[in-house]
Amino acid sequence: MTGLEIGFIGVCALFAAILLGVNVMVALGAVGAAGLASIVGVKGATAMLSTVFFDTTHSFHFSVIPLFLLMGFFAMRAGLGEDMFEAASKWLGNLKGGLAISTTIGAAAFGAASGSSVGTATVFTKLALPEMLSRGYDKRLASASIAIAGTLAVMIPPSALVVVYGILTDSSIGGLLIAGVIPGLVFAVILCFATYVTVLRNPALAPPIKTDATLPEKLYSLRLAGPLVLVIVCIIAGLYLGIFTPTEAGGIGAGLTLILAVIRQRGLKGVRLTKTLMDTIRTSAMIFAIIICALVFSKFLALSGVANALGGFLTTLDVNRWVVVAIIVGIYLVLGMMMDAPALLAITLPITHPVMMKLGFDPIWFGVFVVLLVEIGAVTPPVGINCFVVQAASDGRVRLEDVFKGLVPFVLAGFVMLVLLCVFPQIALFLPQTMK
Amino acid sequence: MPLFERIWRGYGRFLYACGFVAGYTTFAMMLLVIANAISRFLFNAPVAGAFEVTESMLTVLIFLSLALTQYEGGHIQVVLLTQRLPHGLQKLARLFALALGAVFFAWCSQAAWGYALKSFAINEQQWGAIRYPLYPVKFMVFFGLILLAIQYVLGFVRELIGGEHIEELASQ
Repeated sequence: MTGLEIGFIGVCALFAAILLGVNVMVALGAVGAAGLASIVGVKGATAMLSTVFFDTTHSFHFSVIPLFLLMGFFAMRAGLGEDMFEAASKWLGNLKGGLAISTTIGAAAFGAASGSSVGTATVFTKLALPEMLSRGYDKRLASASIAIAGTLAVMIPPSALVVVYGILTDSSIGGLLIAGVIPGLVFAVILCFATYVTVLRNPALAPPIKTDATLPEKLYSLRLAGPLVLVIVCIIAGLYLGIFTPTEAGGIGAGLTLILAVIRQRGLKGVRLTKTLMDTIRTSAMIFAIIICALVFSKFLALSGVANALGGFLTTLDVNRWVVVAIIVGIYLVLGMMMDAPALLAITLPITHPVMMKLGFDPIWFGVFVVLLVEIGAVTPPVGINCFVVQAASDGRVRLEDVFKGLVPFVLAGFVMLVLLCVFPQIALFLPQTMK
Repeated sequence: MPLFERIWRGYGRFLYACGFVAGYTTFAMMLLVIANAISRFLFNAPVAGAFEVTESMLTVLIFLSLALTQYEGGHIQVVLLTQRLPHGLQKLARLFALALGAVFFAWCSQAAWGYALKSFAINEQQWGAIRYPLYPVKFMVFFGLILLAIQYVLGFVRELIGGEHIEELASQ
């Protein structure tokens, strides 16, 4: 049997194992290791397994993942999302669909700090959904605006998912983090615009609200939301200006968020430090297990020649490279309906990344593009994880169908953003190219 | 309480203790990274060894929490297809998934053990601003992987003898 044949059997075995309910990390690792054993022998595969666990985790640069996660859990535990929503609704509540727009802006800012789309969706369902429904907002608009806003969390730095992409593709983590800033902000504006247009076309979806907050009240609402935004700005600026590394940005961000959390909870007790730390290590372990096993699988694919063969096949096809991009978009949307973002990246990047590089795309641009893509997958049926989270956290206020139906304009907005990234790649590349 | 359930819960408590150490290692890592950044920025003098110790801390915190995450069902799996299967086939699929995990991580543990032993034999050192032996960190990798392999074996046995049934008995 040739290496290529073993490689293709391996890819089929991987998907079969995942569909049989095998943990994604086990599927990636076991298929990768067995494939390596059949190509280079059991000794060679064991040698690879002996080093990959230590070499991948014994890294200063990869320490950024638990630190970003820690920052996010501090922000969530301390209830800083509440401050974000309060501030955004005081400042923007009077606009058409103002509460939904406030949710998007608040979730974008809070999501940037938390880096978790699922976490942001949970927090904002608890905060914003009852408020919107009590003001007569349509269930579909209210729930969908929350589900989609969660996706902003992984685009605007700090974002652990972007770091996962960086590790899996050996790309600059600092560059990738900075690259997400402009697309994240542009996407937030597009989402707000989508809400505005939806309400403009059907005003019954969101009755106008007159908030009577005075300027001092508006300013007071920024007492904790303002500093959290400042922390995010400091992290972005520090990375951009080369003042600190991504790992240092993670450490400083986590430390500053802890201080804000302690202030808000009036002491360390309310922050529930041990629980926060336990949540952080669980998610870190889950992410690293997938990354390490994906590296084993990736090595197997490279040695079998599958990645090269696919890349060679697609690059010699007599079609425009954007046709290949469209095929890749289709693959991600289908797979994104079935699994979580880190697992999806781990399974697909060993194949799609080399192909995209062969076609001449920039690795940083592809990072932003693919992260947006998997996040759109996170809100599309049948397994839109963000939609499940919104429905589950709504205490029966909305049905899953409401969320999916309401998401149509927002998913369209996501596609508009993807097209913008294709037409104007500088949206993602300008900052990384000019950073120090 | 049946013997297996006592083993299961006892092992869970041990894994939680490992996770507790991993959690506070994360907190210490945050403090070290901050101290290093501030010292470097203000005094142009990084904390000696901060870079190297942070690296080792990451390894420790990951491998002390891998098995706990599995114990609590925190590793990603796709149940879209299996949840639609008849009960018997569902159980078979779960047994297969757990057995595969046990075999794979047993293989990884054996590989990591050899790697750590080699490091111990040559007294491998971490080179940098400070020097310290690397083999304890490599043994930690083995420790984390063997804990995970054991967790998969226990999960397999629990599935085989009907964990839900045991839980019902225990609650009675």
